[in-house]
Amino acid sequence: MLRVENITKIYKLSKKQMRLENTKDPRKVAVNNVSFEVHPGEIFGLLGPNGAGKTTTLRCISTLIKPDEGDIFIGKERISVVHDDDKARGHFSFLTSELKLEDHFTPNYLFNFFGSLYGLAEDQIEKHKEKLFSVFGINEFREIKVKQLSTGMKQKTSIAISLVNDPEIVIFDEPTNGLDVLTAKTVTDYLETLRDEGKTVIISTHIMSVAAKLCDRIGVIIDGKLRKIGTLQQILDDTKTNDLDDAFFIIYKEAHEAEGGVI
Amino acid sequence: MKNIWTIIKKELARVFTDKGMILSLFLIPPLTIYLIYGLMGMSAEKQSEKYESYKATVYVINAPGEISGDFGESIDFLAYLDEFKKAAEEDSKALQFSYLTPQNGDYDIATLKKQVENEELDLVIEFPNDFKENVINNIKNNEIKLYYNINNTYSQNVYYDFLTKLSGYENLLAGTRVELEKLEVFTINDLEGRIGDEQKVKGTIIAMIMPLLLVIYLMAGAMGVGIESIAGEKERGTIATLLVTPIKRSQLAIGKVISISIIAVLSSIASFIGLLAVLPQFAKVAEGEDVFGGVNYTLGHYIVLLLIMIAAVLFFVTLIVIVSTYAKSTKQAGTLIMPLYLVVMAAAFLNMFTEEISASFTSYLIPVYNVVIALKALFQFELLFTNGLITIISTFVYTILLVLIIQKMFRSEKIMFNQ
Ligand SMILES: Nc1ncnc2c1ncn2[C@@H]1O[C@H](COP(=O)(O)OP(=O)(O)OP(=O)(O)O)[C@@H](O)[C@H]1O
Ligand SMILES: [Mg+2]
Repeated sequence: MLRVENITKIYKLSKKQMRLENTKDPRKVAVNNVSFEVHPGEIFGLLGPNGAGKTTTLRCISTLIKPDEGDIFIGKERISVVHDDDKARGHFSFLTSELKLEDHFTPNYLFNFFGSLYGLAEDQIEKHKEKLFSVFGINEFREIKVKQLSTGMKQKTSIAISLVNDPEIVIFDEPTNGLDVLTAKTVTDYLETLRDEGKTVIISTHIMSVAAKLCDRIGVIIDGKLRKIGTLQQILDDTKTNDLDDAFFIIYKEAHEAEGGVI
Repeated sequence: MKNIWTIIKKELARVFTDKGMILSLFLIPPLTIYLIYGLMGMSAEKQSEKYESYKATVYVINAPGEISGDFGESIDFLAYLDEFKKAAEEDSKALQFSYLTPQNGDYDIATLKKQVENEELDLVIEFPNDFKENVINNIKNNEIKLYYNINNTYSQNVYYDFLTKLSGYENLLAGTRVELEKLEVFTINDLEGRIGDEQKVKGTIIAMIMPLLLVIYLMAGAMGVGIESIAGEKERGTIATLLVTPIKRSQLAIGKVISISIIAVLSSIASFIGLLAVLPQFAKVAEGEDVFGGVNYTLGHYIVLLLIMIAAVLFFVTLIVIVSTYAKSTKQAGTLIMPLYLVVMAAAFLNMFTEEISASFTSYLIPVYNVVIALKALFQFELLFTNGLITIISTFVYTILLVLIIQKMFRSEKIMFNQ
């Protein structure tokens, strides 16, 4: 269970960033008053174009950054991610498709290392390792240093390691980014398995087909604001379309008209 | 606690399973120290060999003849020297020399000084005109002047050698006298007689280069590991993986600081072993003489040296950790650390050329500078216990303050996510 309540995140741009973004305003509202809920046994997808604020939202949930306003609660005990981040971190895992494993170590070593950071006992670590390494086919290269692995192997390893604590909540930024079709399928299949095990799963994507196929509910985020939220069918009904691509364009256009902008 | 240990174990595994790192942290620094100083020691040894076959020329002015005392006559000074000359003919290790005296009592001190400067003469000994009367009447301020060339090792060695001979002569004179206050027969003035460039002399003194070299190695060891372990992890994004685990930011910071410190301390202990291997060699070469500081270091010296080195390493580590936490990439960390490195080098360098060991208590409170002056004083046997203690304690205190800053930085999303 995950509740995001009215979070707003404002970045302060450096001079260089202001030049790059071609703006005189040093404040960048990356996430603007966003609220949603994700339930156990559900995959929720944040769908939005580049720069919409997806990664920022997921980073707020995973305690890497703090929202300027609003709060995020997890679990039945409603642990506040913003105020009780050390406690909250044991309950979820945050995955991204960016590579982020130390080159010098083997998948096996890193799995044990992160396992012990999560405070797991050795036998627990072994149990989770056995399961995750076989799902992602890591056993063949478990003792090879990360720097010698292919990109796909690295990504599988990093996913397996992020799930070491068997978390209640799985947060995944762009799960299929940069993966080949086969690996991408392994990953999405496993996300479905996690959902079926009753986990709370939240992903971000800019790919319509991923959102349409994988997600039980979708939140469309544009320019930091959540513009639409619902099941695929609800969104299609709302926009009177019959595929997500068309629906997305309509939502996008409405958003810009509301802001008085042009596309 | 367990989390901190997990981090430390990983960081140590990172270094100790990497041949390149082992080489650059633990083998190359002590080896270079050993080689550099070994070479210097060798050239010093060669010189002392040459010295053995060298024939010195000494000019003696107003050499006193026999002087009568309470217990009979003392020996004539030139006859006293003749005994050494004879002895030196048998013993090749003793100083071979000949002496000149002024013809008809005529001499010009300016010309003689010029000759010392041009290395035609090694030493000029000028007894006062009324040396004999002064001794008999027990006049204080009976001053013998010595002129020698401080840029010429031969001349210096001859000077040292004659200091011993003169003190032997003083004992002979004193031996003929009864009253205690008459035992100091003459004084030696060798200050005006130092001919040559003072700075050049200092450049050769080991105590001045050693702190510099040590500080460079201490810093370099901590730099490589520190940049890699923090700025490197930020750059590659692996730090984010750590930051979403339940480990506290402060624990992560402490784990990093401790592990980098352990590695840097081990690395400097390796350098220290290189020093240990090479220091006694100097003691052998320059027996008891000032040129190499009369290198007879005691166990106490070594312990203080090690403590200062450890305190300095921890301080450098925390400085480096701060910079590489702040930096966005290893490249930027390297760039940012450079000025710091230069400041440290400058402190060490400047000190090479400053004359006195700063005795003021407050200088031992200035970070980095205190380490350098303490090391220098230590190598010159002039480090006061309190100053050593102040250096060690203040450096530890600064380190703790810096660690608090690091913990704060690790909690700042601006710093941890400023890609
Ligand atoms: N550290 C930062 N400092 C300043 N601005 C930032 C920072 N991170 C993101 N932004 C800006 O905030 C906005 C939202 O970025 P975010 O990364 O959340 O978008 P996204 O939806 O994940 O996009 P993408 O599909 O490209 O990953 C963008 O305009 C981005 O430029
Ligand atoms: Mg993103």
